[in-house]
Amino acid sequence: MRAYWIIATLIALTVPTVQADIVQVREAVIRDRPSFLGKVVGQATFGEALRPRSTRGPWVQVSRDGGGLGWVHRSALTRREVVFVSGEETVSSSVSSDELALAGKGFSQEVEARFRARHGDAGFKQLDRMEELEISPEEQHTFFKQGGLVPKTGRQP
Amino acid sequence: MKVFCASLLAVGLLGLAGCQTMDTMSEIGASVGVATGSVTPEEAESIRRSGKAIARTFEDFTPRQEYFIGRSVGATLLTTYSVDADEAATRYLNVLGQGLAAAGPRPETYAGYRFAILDSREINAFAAPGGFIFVSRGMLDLCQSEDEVAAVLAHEIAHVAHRHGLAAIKQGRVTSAFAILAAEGARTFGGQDLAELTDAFEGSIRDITTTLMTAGYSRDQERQADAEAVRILSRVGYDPHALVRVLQAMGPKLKPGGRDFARTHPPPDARIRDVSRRIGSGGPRAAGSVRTARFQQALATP
Repeated sequence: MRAYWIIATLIALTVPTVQADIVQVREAVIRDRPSFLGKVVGQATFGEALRPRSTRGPWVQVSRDGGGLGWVHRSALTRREVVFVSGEETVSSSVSSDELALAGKGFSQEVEARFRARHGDAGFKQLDRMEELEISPEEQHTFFKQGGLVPKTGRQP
Repeated sequence: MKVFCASLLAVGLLGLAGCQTMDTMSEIGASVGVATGSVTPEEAESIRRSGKAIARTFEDFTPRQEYFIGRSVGATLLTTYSVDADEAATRYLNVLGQGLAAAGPRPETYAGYRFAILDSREINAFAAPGGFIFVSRGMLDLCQSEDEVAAVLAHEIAHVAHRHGLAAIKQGRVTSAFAILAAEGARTFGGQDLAELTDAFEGSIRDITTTLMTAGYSRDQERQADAEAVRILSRVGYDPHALVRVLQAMGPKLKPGGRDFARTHPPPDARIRDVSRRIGSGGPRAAGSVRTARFQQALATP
């Protein structure tokens, strides 16, 4: 155990770390600009590590594996120091995913299963149905537009 | 020996830098340890945990934990109320609601904001943590326009965004839950740990449903939700006066002693005063024919 601490300390002093924003929601929306009106250009999944490049208000500009930049709202992200895997531009996400999974271990699937065993399934099936309903970004955009709701000035809200 | 002294010095220097560094060090140390194979994942987790502060509040629940709490709150609500199966109306509420939530202060929750209609003539709406939002037919019947529906949804979205539901969980339960999670070697739970965690979970669900259905949120929380609703409505382009109109319509219809908003919310008059002050001057904006038509089509009572 002591050897571990010695090694870890020395390595930690020399190994570079980076800030990574880890996705803490099931699917994080990535937009082409820092606004809820920005076009959806992709999604990042739970546990994925993104490199923050800049921020504007509550929005973080991130780079993803495979290149490309986009903006994610910080509510989707949790910031971590992670070990930078040398020689690679991208950040190893496996450690942080573990930690996220462990943090979620408490009030999670296991506990829900026990709760359902005690209280019944019925309501949960309704909730599953609620979660299945998908609205596409295009449908959302059309709804705003046709309702005369997109600000006409183009000013960033 | 030289290595040992160097590392002691390093730990000493780091000790001065305080808790934040300790947190980072624990994570890095643990990460490296796992990567190099010198510790097991269980030991790594134990190292991580020992570096973190012990005091936890409801704000420490991750979005994923919040999601599971919200699911059970929703399921519990649905033992009292049933869901209205009207697909068109439900879809309308979801397109509208998700657009509003995207413009709010916390647009991303674990599984997103989801809306369902409760098959009840009571005037009621419930926001479960994580974004499961239920609105009664009775509430929707009060609304004369899409802007007014938006106002109702924006208010519920604000409760979720500000974690008012989670705040209802008694601190003792939060402490119990995190203590179990922090137990060393608790990568997989033994029967006793899981039972205790489930008890803390059940208690949390009870605390929240009591707030939603009986006690109501605090006045401050209601004020915050109304203020946030006005902000969301304005940002998206809806008329914030719609919130005032819904509150005005609600007043005469609430049943004192009943299960509706009369039980759980401040009287509409008080809310109207606060909201009107917040909106200030500036006339209401016209809705337009598309918005009017789709509102009528989606929510027309048969």
